Amino acid sequence: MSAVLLVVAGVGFGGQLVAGGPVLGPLGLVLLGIPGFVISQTVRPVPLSWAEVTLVTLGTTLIGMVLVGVVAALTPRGLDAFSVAAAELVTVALAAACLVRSSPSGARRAPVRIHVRPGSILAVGIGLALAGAGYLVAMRSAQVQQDQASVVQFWAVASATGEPQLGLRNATGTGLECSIAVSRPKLPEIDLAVGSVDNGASWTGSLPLRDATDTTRWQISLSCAGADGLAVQRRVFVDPVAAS
Amino acid sequence: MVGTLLARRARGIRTFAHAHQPPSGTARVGVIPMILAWTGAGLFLIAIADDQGRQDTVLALPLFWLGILCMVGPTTWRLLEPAHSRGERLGLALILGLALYVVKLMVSPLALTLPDEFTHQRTLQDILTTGHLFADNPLLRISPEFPGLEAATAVAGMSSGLGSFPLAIVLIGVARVVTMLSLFLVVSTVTGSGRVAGIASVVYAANASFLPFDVAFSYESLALPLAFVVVWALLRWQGHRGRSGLHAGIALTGIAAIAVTHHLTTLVLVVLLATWAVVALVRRRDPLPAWPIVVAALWAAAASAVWLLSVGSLALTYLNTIVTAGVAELLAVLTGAAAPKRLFVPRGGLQAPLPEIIVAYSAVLLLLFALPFMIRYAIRHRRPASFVVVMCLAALLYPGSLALRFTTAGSETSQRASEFLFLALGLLGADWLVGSRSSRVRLRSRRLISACLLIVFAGGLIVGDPPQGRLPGPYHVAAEQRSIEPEGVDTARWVLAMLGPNNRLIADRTNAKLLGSIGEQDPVTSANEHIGTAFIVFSSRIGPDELALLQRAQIRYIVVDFRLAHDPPIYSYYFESAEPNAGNHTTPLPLASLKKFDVLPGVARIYDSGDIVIYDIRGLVNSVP
Repeated sequence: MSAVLLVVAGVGFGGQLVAGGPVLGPLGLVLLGIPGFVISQTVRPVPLSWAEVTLVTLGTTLIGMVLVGVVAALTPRGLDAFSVAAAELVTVALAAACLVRSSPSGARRAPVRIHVRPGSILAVGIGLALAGAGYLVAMRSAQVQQDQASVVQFWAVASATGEPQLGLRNATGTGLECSIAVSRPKLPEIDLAVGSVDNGASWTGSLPLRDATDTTRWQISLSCAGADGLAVQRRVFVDPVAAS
Repeated sequence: MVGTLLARRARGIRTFAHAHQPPSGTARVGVIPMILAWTGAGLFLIAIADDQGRQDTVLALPLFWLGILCMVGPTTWRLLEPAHSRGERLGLALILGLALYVVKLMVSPLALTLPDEFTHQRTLQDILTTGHLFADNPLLRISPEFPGLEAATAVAGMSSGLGSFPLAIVLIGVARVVTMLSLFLVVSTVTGSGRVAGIASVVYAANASFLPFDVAFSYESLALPLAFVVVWALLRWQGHRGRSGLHAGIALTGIAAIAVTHHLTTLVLVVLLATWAVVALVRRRDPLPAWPIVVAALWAAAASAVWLLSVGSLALTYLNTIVTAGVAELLAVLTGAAAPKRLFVPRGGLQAPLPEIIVAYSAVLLLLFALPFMIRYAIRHRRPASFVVVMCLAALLYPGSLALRFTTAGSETSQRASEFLFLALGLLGADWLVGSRSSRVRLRSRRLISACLLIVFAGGLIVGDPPQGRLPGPYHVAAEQRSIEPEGVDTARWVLAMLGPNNRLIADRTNAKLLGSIGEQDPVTSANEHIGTAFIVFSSRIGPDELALLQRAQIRYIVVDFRLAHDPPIYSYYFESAEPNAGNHTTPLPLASLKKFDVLPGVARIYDSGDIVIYDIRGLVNSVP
């Protein structure tokens, strides 16, 4: 079995080497444990108890991941799928060398057979079901708390091209009707149309350029109304960009 | 006659062979299924408690304790029973350890929210982005110098394609399994008793950091289980008289892995191994060879010295500052120069219930009362193993570590010390309670022992984490995970998307963690750059001194959370420990201090999410010659 597992690990990490990314998805985590498991089966003193096999497998896996990660990151290429796969193939090779060099000790650990009664299986099922249900309750509760949070973000920043831009994002759980008013001291107010903004949606618009004679700071106010009397007010102040 | 002799010889061979054959292979699970059912019920109750906590009802805390009782009570009772298989006891210890891990997961099932987790999330992001180590981390400068956790997580990510959060859950979950397994095997190797090992697991789980900190995505959460693996491997290596390549390899590579993962665990391991080696060498009548321990101690010293001197030089200053500050304050308290820190002080309307305070003090008193008895029991043995002698020395440090709780600077040191000292308390305490050697001074009643263990366990939970840390709930100011909420997270994401990474800014402790990790920004504090930027927010005005400070710190943005004007901080400070009046805030920040940026020339208010506002102060800073 150790040989088969090493072949699987070799193929898996080899595939990662070639593809430049994980090839087995989450099962790739299992590959990381194979060299440690093989070492627990082949390096004296053997056989170990099942508890020791588990500890050796998991412990050497964690140790290996730390050392592989640090060594890979210290290489000129850096830590990426290729360097990790290459380093893991070295651990697979080490485990294979241990397997080849190991000789049968004569004493074999008998396969563990767990003897349980039907009532015990029911109890295990109940326990796992309750724990699983509890975890789902916790997740649902956390999700509801997150969804109930009412966040409206409003901003005025330069866009990627350098033009002044207004933006808002609605995360209130309901649609909003919004409007923006630009207050300029000694000048008429500018109203910018926004309209409906759905939950989870964003809106962006351009900020008007200022006249050369206008050196004042602008106050830009956002007003939104939603369901159940929800009212949102936000303010930003900017020194607007002058028209060329 | 020859036939009789041959028959006897054949029986003898069979007897010899049978005696040296591994067990027959049928494992008894005993009442593990029933304990699983109780544990599942306990977790379900705690999930309901978490839900009630989010709704801020009075049912939350009683349900939490009922759930803990369901999980720990039957397990403890069963572990105290004398006649059960080692496999069953190990299974019970594993179930207990994993269940307590799931308790933490259920508080934050959707994302990482513990304060230290943001720090390591930033280091992980930097490694994943750059592929290299040692990128600057403004949240904790020392974190990139000990990248073992993040490097391991990155390896797992490269091999599986999973995201950071599921990887963190899996990695720390595996670390928890390794902790319980190695702890059990260490104690059973030393004492030869699975019963002692099972009880030691319960006592160890009572350490103040077991639930709140040792399950966080933090470098110590990986280094500590590796340290336990190293101790186990060394015991086995020594037990095989130095002829075990497997255990030698695990011990020595494990030491190297710890050296690159966590500074404090490395130093504690070096001290432990050095003490163990000295004791083993001095005690000439010890039947086991000392040289494996000596080799390990030398290797640990060399590995830690190489890493500390070449990469982690900040660690010595960092640890020295923390430890000496705590010790200095303790000395001041003992000489009357400073008042002791008051324990269980209510903050922000959150007060530990009186029953919890009583249980916490009772737990500590029980341990202090039992300490001399457990040490006496251990050394009364005709030839206690050198490791046991070391554990006795470690246990003697427990009262001193408690004293640090009465200092502000040393509380954290006391908390972290419990993770190491409880290995000694667990081994010695369990051996005294249920070990095979006789003792005239020992509890006999299983009910009484169970009750005491449950009090010790509950006390550890209470000391380690106040109620607002154990359960989720409504937002509170500067309340660590209770302050993490969607508005702050969305703000951090917005900053990264709209302003780009690596902007130098000022923010309170909660938003600094979010902005520094999710937002990939550079919060500037006195902790990371020796510039007291918190004064900018505390000042009632921005004068020449404040302007000079802003210029020196090269601040571009100031992030203001107006909720700081609602309540005083739950924990000691709003921004950092160096801020004005840290640890003594009794009133909220003045709103005028937070609003002053609105009227400053050259300051643009560029973001408003209701409670959080961001100011671009480039115009203000550039206006100063």
